[in-house]
Amino acid sequence: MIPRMTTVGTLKNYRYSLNRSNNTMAKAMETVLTGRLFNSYAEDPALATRCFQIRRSFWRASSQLEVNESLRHKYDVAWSALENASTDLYSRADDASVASIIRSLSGPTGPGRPALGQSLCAKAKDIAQIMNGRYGENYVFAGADTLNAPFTWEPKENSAYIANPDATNPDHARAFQYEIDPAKAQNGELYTNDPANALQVPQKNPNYDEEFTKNATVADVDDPRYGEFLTPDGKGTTNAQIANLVPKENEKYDETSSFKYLKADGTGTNEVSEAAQALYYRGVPVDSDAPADVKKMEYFLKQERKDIDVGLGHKEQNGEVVTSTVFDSSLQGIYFMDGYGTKSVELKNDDGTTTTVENIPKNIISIVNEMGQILQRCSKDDGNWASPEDEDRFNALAQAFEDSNSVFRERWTEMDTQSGFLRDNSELLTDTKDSLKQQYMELEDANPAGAISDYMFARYCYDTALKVGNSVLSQSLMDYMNF
Amino acid sequence: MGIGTFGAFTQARLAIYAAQTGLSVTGNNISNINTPGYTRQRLNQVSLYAAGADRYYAEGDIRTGQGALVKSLSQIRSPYLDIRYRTENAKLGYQDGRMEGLDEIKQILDEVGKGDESKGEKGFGVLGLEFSELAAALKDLTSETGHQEYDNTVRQYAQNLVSMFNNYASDLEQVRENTVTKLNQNLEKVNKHLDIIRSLNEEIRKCEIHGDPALELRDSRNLEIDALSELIDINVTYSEEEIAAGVMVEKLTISLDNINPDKSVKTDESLLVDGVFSAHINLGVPMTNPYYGVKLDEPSEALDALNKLLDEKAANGEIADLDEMAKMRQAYVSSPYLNQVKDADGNVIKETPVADIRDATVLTDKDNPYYGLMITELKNKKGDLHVGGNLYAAEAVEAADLPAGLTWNVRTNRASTEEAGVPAEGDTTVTFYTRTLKPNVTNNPPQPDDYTYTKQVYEKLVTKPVALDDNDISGKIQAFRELLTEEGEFTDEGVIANIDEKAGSKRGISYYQKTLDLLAKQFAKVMNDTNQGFLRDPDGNFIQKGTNDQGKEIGVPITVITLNGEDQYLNKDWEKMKTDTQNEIKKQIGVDGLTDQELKDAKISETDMINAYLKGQTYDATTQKFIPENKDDVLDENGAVVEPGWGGNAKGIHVGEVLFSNNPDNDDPSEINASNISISDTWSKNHVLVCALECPPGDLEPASGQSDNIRHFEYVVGEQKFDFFPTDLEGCEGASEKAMFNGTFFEMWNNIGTTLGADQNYTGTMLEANYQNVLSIDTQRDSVSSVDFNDEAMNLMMYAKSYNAACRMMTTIDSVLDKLINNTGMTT
Repeated sequence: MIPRMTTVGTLKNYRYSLNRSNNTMAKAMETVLTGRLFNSYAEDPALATRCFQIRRSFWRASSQLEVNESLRHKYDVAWSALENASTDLYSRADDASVASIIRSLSGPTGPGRPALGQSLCAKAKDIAQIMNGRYGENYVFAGADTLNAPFTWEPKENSAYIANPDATNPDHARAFQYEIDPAKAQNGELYTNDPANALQVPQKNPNYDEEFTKNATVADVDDPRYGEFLTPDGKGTTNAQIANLVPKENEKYDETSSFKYLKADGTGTNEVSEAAQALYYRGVPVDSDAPADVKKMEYFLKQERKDIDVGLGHKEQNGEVVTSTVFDSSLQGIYFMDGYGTKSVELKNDDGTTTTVENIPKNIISIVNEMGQILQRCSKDDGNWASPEDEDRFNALAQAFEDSNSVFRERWTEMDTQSGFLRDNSELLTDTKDSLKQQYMELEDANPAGAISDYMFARYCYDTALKVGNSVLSQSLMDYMNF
Repeated sequence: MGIGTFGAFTQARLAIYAAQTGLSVTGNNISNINTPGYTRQRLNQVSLYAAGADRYYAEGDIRTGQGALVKSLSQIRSPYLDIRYRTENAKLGYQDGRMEGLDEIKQILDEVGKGDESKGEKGFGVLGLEFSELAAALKDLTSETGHQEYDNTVRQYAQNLVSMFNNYASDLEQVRENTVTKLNQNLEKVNKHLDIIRSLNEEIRKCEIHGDPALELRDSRNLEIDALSELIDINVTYSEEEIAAGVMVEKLTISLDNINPDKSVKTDESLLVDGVFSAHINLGVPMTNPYYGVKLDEPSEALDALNKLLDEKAANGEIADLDEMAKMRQAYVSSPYLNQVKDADGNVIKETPVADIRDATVLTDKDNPYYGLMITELKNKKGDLHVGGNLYAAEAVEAADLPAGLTWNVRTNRASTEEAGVPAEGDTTVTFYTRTLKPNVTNNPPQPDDYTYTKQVYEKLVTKPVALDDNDISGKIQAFRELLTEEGEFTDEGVIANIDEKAGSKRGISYYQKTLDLLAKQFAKVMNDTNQGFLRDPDGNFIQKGTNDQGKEIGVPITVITLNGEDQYLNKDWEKMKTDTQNEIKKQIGVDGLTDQELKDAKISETDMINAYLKGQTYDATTQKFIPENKDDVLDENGAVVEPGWGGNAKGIHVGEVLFSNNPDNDDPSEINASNISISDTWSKNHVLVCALECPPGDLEPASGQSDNIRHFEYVVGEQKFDFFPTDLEGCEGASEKAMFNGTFFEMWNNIGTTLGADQNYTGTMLEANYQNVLSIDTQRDSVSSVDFNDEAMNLMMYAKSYNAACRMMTTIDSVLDKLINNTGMTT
């Protein structure tokens, strides 16, 4: 049956259609005005989700780029600092360390050596200052300790110093002069500084000659070489029973262990003003071979990291960062200055033999500083070395200095490589950022031409619907009735 | 017998009258073309024909009709289309109500196109952007560690984030409150419609008794029913009701439309209108368990639940005194669902009078968290309870067998036991008696024996309210209910198993509130956990204070035991420690008696054991917690220690503080949700971000610029994927233990938008489809019932022509009769 289309039904349908047409036009207008393909999740949930994810990646890349740029600048500052240090150390310019050293090695130059010594010491201070350079508010070469200057000159601490000696602790033996009499050890003490409590042993004859004593006659008993021991009246004897008893010396005793600091001559002192100045890196004496100091330095060089996410995939596994996914931004000044602790240096003599010089610092600044100190000790009149040991030590230090040149350059180049990586990464992140922006714009942004033509079409439809509306109610049979 | 000589005049008169009435009906149709709900009327005419045999047979006597008789007016309406329209209208109402709610949620949670455009590329999104901004601020802090201005920036972004959470939670709560208001308003509308329909039924009934078809009243009633069908799904039936012996009137019955998928549920067929009786639908049956009311067959369980609830309320301080408690207990007990309390054997041990049931207190939203609905008793306008129902039997009875005290309605000749007060309250049946006067009765007035009697027994069906099941209704009301109650993945598994198996995929405001709460809670927990820990050395050994030979304080590893002269340290990696070390740790924290499985069951991880050792805690099997729980001592009002904290006994060096708390004035991280998440009191006043936990060898603090923990913060905020478990949220312990989502915080936030978008998208599509259906059916209804100008023009012409023809006929008859009377047989 053909549906009976009534006036009321037609009107209802028209009203609905007109409303729809208006709605479509409003949506098309919104697209034109906002320039966006969608304005709510509901319009396209999957697309909206994707866009948010891309935007999130975009924001992440932006922030990675920002921090990468900051790091790049830090590395630029570091590179410049090392360039300055290199100039101070190795250039052939007259005021460079190497020039001073060559001049010092080329023979006595009258009063010149002490002056060169002063210059070298000042250079060492300069280099330490350069390595204490900052980028922004952070010390560039301080590893992860960015708020504190890494290199400091401080009173040389005595690593043998024991603040509170414990007589029961074998590790504290160096603080005690005598071995304790077990009968007087009430709490398990092993050592004592009180002669009254010390283990009493026959006094040894310091002039004892075993061969002489073996062949000695009665007349020889007054000879100082006679007898392993000494009697209370100071004469030699082979009989320990009648020997004078004295407290037993502790062989490990180190008389400097009671001093906090060391003077330039290696003796101890508790006065800061008397102490020698030593180079410290982050509170650790650079030239120390003490196990605790070495352990800390090893940590700085091999373990300490300051990881930053610069877009390498930042991941953690079992609560630990995957180091290949982050950038270690820590720069350890000690690393570029060729390390810490001391080493032995073998010097070739003119006769073909070798002389081994111990405790030569590995660190460049320490080397330059000590060379300066040695030169300052030279005679102000003729420039001669203060002692043959000084000469050997200076030569050994000069050899160490020469060796350090290649290490310094190698590490400088290594840093340059890292800097290069940051530059490349910066470009990569910029590309990523641009690409992500392009992606979300393609997904979100309406094509203006399409949006406008859609709007025009919607408007055309709406206008047409309005026009149709005029004729919906225009004519019916009623209008043609004629009575 | 043929028509009489002047009968033709009557014929013409009737024709004129019929045409005039037809014109009047047509005029009425044209007048009401714009009247909402108007159904076109039709004049029913019949041909008047005098039947019967003539007294004398006359051959050639032809019987003709005596004209047209206007019999009645009727409406042209299709009940089938009405049913279809109302069914679709309920679906439309449901989707419309749902869309309304989702749109409000969208205003809050949909961040597409939102944001500060002046920020350019970063001006997109609001809360989602804050996560990214926080991650970016943390990234800046990794390279600028130790500088307070960067620390402050992180805190500021964190503050922005929690403010967003607070705002969104507050806005969602506002939406929830608005929806409660809307639900109440729409329930009022439902009840108003029901009342009006009942009144119209009364009017129509009266009109019918007086022979008036009451077409306009029916139109009004149809309009009301249509409006009602948008709010709830209804089934409308028409039947004949005997109001007096042999006098039948139409009875309209409206019931719920039997849509509950659980066919054992019958409450979805409950009556709303039965003739002149109607019910109301109200919120607020007492909900003492989450299963939408207490079933009558579980009263003892209900009473237990009630007592428990009241105890809880008392414990929470919600009940001020014993009198109030007694009042509340009475309110609950007098509910229709507790009218019978049975013992274990099923014997009724307590029965509450029906009167009390009728007084059942309508409780507040708080006590009716599932917005359960109750259909009240059916009552007429005077407030009398409806006692209709299924007829059990109809039988003839003798006058002697009638119960005493019956009051006969002289007009209807009916009496009922209810009116006589014969049955006790609570009886389940009511009996009606009808009497008919025997023939040839001479007594005036008639005596009881002058009648024959019929007894009809009805089941007393609707004298008590009906608690609706969760899925008994559809329409807008159900949409608002679902918006208020549906919790999606947070739904109690018991509800899914017992009430609505689809509840897990239905999401209302509660779902979005809880999801936001879960996100805020998880975020706060992860951030708080990340910002606290114990210092360790580069090898992962936890450290404590020691002194070196030089008398300086240094960090030394914590020794758990010494094996063969070698110290065994406490390491962050459980597997790195020797078995003896592990056992010693277990012993010291008091879990050495537990097997691996028991540890797993008690959810004690290896990290938990290490932490307990570091804190110096011991395991309390009763509470299944490590005690003392708090770091700080709990003090009484006099400052005396009531409960010592673990802070004083910690073996390790604990650093860090709570970053997020449940109130800006404290550091309490418990029960954090989106509405209360705050920057902790301590963080708001101090720089407490833990930058690192690893110290250089021998040191007691990390390097000044070490930022490994900040990097970890950045990772957890921006990169780490978490499982989000609904059960982690307070009050959702009964939900599925499966993770509802796995992803980063940002992705979880994005997922909220996606879920909402998908919900809205689906609802929008369904709304459009339902609207089209309703429009289509309405057009079909219009094609049957509405007025059309062309039709009415035709009618106008038709009745006008008829009128003219009738008049012409009158003239013709007059003319022929004139001839017959005045000119026949007369000569001039």
